[in-house]
Amino acid sequence: MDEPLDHIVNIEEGDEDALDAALEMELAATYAKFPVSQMVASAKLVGEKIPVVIEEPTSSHLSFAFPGWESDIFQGGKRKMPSTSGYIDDPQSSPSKRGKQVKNTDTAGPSRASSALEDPTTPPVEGCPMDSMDDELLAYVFKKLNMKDLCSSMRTCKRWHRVACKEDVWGHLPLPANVPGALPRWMEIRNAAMSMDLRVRFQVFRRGYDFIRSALDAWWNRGKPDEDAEGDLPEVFPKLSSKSDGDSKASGSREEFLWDEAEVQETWTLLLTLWRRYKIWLMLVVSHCPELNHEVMAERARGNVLATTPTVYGKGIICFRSQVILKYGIRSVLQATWSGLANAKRSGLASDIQLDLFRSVDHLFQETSVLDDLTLSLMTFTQQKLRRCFGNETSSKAKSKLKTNPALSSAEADGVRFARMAMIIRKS
Amino acid sequence: MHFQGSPNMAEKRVKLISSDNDEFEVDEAVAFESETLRNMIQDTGTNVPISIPNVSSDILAKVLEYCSYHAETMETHDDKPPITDAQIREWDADFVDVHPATLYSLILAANYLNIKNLLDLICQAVANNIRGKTAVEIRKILHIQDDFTYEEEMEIRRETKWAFD
Repeated sequence: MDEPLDHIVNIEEGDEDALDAALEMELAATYAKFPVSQMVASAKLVGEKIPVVIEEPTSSHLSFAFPGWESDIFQGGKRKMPSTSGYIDDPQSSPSKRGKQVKNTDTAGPSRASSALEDPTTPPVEGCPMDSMDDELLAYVFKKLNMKDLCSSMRTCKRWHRVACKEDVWGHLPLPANVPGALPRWMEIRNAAMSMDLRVRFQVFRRGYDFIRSALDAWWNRGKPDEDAEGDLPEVFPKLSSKSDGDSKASGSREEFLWDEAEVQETWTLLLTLWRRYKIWLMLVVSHCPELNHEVMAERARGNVLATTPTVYGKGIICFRSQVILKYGIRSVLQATWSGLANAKRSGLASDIQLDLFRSVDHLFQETSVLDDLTLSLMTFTQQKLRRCFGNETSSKAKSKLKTNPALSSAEADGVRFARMAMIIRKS
Repeated sequence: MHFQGSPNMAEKRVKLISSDNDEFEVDEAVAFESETLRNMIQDTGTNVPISIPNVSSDILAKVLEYCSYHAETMETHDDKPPITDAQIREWDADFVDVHPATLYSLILAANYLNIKNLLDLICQAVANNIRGKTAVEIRKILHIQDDFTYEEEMEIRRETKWAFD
């Protein structure tokens, strides 16, 4: 039962040096101050390299999750109840646990604690006693801790991490002025955000995202996401759009046109492949925009009403949504085949392959249904459009999720997870 | 079960009913230690017993013990020397020296009754339990389930590494 823990410890020891290096790079990037002009210049430099970039990605900048960003970053996984515990239910660890508890209460006061524990009528403690406390109370306890203890607490479980990430938990702690590296990242980021003029911030974002858009265009027009990718985009996309053009001319209405199964599958498999490759490419872009990410984080850390700027990753997804899925020409093909797929599923006649495909596509829609870039005009908003065009068929679960939590879509959480995985894979 | 407040403040008494339907009678000054009770009393007066449905008898007794002691320390007596801060601290330390389970129930009660000093005191005691321990140790003493994936764990280790250098 203790295996997973050992596993983690072992790997951590092995990777310690790599982790150190990554952390240092990250900190250096965070603490560097970028004037606007410099930033844009560096962005342009990177932009020129983009199509061939694979050399040494600065992956350490991919961390979207950081203290002060209060959304739950592990949205997908619900906190498990302690009864399903791996380590804690281990009978062998129980005696030591008890011993610890005695020692532990001793620090609070020596006399009565041990007798209370030895009392046979004492009910056995099941689960974390903190579970009954709401987040606010837990944060109240955290406010009594020093930085090191707070960081230990963050490492214990998701709920504690989320609560300890709240900004006000850290508010009472003094800033250690002598060692900037000892500051929690968000504190520094928050201070940077506070000192930055609002107007300047918007300029930074606008220019930064202009760069992303043009980089995207470059990729669609002539680039490959990476060297391993098979097939060229310009080849597959004209195929899709030319087909749709032909259809619309021939039949006039997409409902009348019957798609055969193979074509439906081919279309969506293609899109899914593209989506996967796009995500990898997007990760590379993200890793080359540390400054921009830094500013977005700062904006969010502030908890400002105006903090509506999407992350670089989010922006990339919006671009994919607007420029690929919802692009006129491509969209009609997708819509027609999608309803064909959904019909097959509804009628119960769908093959396993089709069901798999349906689920993958459904997931794609969830992933791409991120919040619009609110720094741009209403005309550019496509979240609702995506739902209008494809929403009828997506599962009710996805819809309710979108309804209840519009601020952080599951796509963003997925992006975070994906980013981390990619990071670790690249490191090893 | 009855609680005696300080003897020379016996004019106004407040009746409190715990979740187990036990009745407690305390001085108004004792009940006023709790913001929640203070508001209730100001709304309804002292004639109506106040029921506290989510606090059990033993916990309420403990809370009232704290309240009456601290209400007492606020008063000045001519015949007795005033209670020093050191004495209060000692009493408080003794007060929180209970089984952890009681401590957590007390937090909830203190939060509900809105007794800020008590909440501070207990949270400090709980924080003392956590103090100086590694994440693994904290998980063990508080029976916390580690629900991070490996990637998340690594990310958070990096995120918090600065504190352990």
